[in-house]
Amino acid sequence: MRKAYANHVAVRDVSLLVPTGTIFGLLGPNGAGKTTTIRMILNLMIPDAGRIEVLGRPNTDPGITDRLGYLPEERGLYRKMQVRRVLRFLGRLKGLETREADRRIDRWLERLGLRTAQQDWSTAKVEDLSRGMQQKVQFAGTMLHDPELVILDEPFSGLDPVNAQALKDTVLDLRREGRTVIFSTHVMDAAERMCDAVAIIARGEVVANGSLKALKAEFGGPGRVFIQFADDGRDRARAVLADPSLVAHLDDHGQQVEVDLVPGVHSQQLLKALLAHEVELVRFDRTEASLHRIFLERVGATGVEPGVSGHG
Amino acid sequence: MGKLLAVIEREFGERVRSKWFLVSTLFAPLLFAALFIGPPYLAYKSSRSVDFSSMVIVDVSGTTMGDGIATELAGGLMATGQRATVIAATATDSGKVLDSLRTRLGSNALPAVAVIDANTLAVGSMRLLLAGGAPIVTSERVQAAAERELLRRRVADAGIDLEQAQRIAKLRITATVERVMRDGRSGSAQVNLLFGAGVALLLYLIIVLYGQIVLRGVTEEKQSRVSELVLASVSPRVLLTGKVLGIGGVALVQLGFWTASAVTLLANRGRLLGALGVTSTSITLPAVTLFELAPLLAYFVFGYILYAALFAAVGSIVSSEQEAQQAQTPVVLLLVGSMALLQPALTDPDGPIARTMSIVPFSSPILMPLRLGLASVPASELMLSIVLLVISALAAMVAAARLYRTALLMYGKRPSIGEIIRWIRING
Repeated sequence: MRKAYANHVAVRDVSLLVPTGTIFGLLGPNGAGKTTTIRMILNLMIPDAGRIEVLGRPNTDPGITDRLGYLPEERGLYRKMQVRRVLRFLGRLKGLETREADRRIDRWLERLGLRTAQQDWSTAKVEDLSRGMQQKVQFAGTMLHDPELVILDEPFSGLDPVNAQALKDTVLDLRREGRTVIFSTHVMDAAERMCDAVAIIARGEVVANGSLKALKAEFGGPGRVFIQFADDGRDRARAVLADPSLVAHLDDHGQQVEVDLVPGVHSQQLLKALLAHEVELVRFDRTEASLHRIFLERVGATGVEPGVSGHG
Repeated sequence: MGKLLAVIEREFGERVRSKWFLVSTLFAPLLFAALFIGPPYLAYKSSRSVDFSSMVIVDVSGTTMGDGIATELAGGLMATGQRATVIAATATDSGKVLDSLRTRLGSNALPAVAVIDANTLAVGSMRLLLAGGAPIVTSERVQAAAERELLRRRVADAGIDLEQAQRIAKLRITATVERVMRDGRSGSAQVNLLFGAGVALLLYLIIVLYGQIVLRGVTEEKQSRVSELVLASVSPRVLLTGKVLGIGGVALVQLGFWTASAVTLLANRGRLLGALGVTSTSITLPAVTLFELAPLLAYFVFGYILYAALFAAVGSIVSSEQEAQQAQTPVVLLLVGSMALLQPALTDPDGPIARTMSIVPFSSPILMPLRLGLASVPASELMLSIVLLVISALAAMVAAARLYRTALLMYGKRPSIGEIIRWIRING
């Protein structure tokens, strides 16, 4: 799909495939086109060109919105309304009956700690709630109708560590229940721990796309090994570390070295070679290329437009 | 359909539950009551409050007429109240007496001084001196008392029974004015005028008031970013329709309550004032049939929808309420312009201006009800006017809904006219 605004192209020929039942991360710097992409998936914006299918149907299909849950980046609720009335309204917009909505509202508010034996926030006005509580209410509104596909735009922004962890747990629960989750973020750490697959978008284009494992294999390079020697191990290892068929690059810190392997070489081969030379080791640590590094590498310094906000 | 109902219910329910609704709904009838009951009651109160016991009647006539007037002022022969002081004087010393009374009048120690002489008896002329603070009704009351006393005297002189004489003297002609229209329909001209102008004014007020509410509602929804959430669940058309209908429902409820209370008040005005001790008549309301009400209702509903759609469009392109105040100017000008045509339409309800503008959609909801009250409008003109209004109202809704989709997600700079037109076209 493709979307252009008056003076710039927000999304340039983006093509994505999100497998059912997975957690999919939409990563990219501010202004990359994440929100525009999400808005097009939700039929909030009409793409200039392209085709979008959601749950096997065109996204313009009127029945499809009832099966989607959406948490916008800019959170907002009717401030003057009672929490229960807001949620009931959101539920009814997704086709829920009032009574069924009420039942689910109770369940979600209890689950999120907004309805306890001591205090029931469901009769309070939205504006009387703290920001954190408002976010929880909004999340409950997203989930009320048991959506099959949940789209979360920057769900971690503005959350304290406790609530961020709770949200991660909930999202992982969603996958366990067989739902599909798409979320956009620029917090690589969260994406790396939760996502099955990601797409990295920069300047409106997909610069990397696929399962986390495939991405690491493709863009993460051959991997890096951290070695710490004991006794005269460093001297015994000299020949192995100088072998150009194994080692592509060496960071030498004396008793500790960091090694970039030659593409195609597994760390086991290096370990075998070292053991063959009877090298005494304290540590042999194989580190994976982090998503963070892949992101920085793929997006590059030019991918970040200066001073561009998250939406637009 | 269920979703549209949910939007309507939210817009209607949240507003009806608000304090604003309760206050404004109840306040207007109180205001009507104050307007209809207050002035006559206050006038009556102030007329009662003239203290005639402290006034002075200088009687130079040499008869007992001064005493008679004092009795009449105190409430007739059966009265128990304090009577005014009567000073009998001769023509020679009356000047001196008056001079001393004048100083007391000047310091407001006396409310009034009446001077009666032979001329009063002969031709009914008298002098009345009022203190600066005396109520205006004082002179009326004194003259009326003098008239009654004079009548009593003349009747007694002629040897006629007083009651009979009073009946003869109380002549009054009341004319009921009826204007016969081209189609033979008739009606009380004044009441029709009041009715037509009243309906026009009411429609104008409701459209302005509730158009503003639609505008504010849309701006709030956009500003709080709720619109993005809602639009992910319903189409812009459903959201807009629900909002306009829900708020329109509030308007209808309020209008209904106001009309009912105003009609009840007017119909029972005489009884209410009577309960307060003031004699007055109830105002006869024009008999309006359902058949005549139907076009008025159509003008209200579609006039409101037309302007609500325009206000909603304005609300969707701005980013803050302050901005909305400026951006709504063109829409408000359309309304005010229609209102400015009220005067020419009143003077010449069948003239070219009134006829044209009661067909043009933007001014027809205000001018046609007025014309309907004043003149007989050909059925073809009425039909044309209503059909044009309905078409423009629906077109405005469709255009506003198309604009909605793009505009509600755009923040920052207000779009130009060209961009607005482009957005309306691309979402077609």
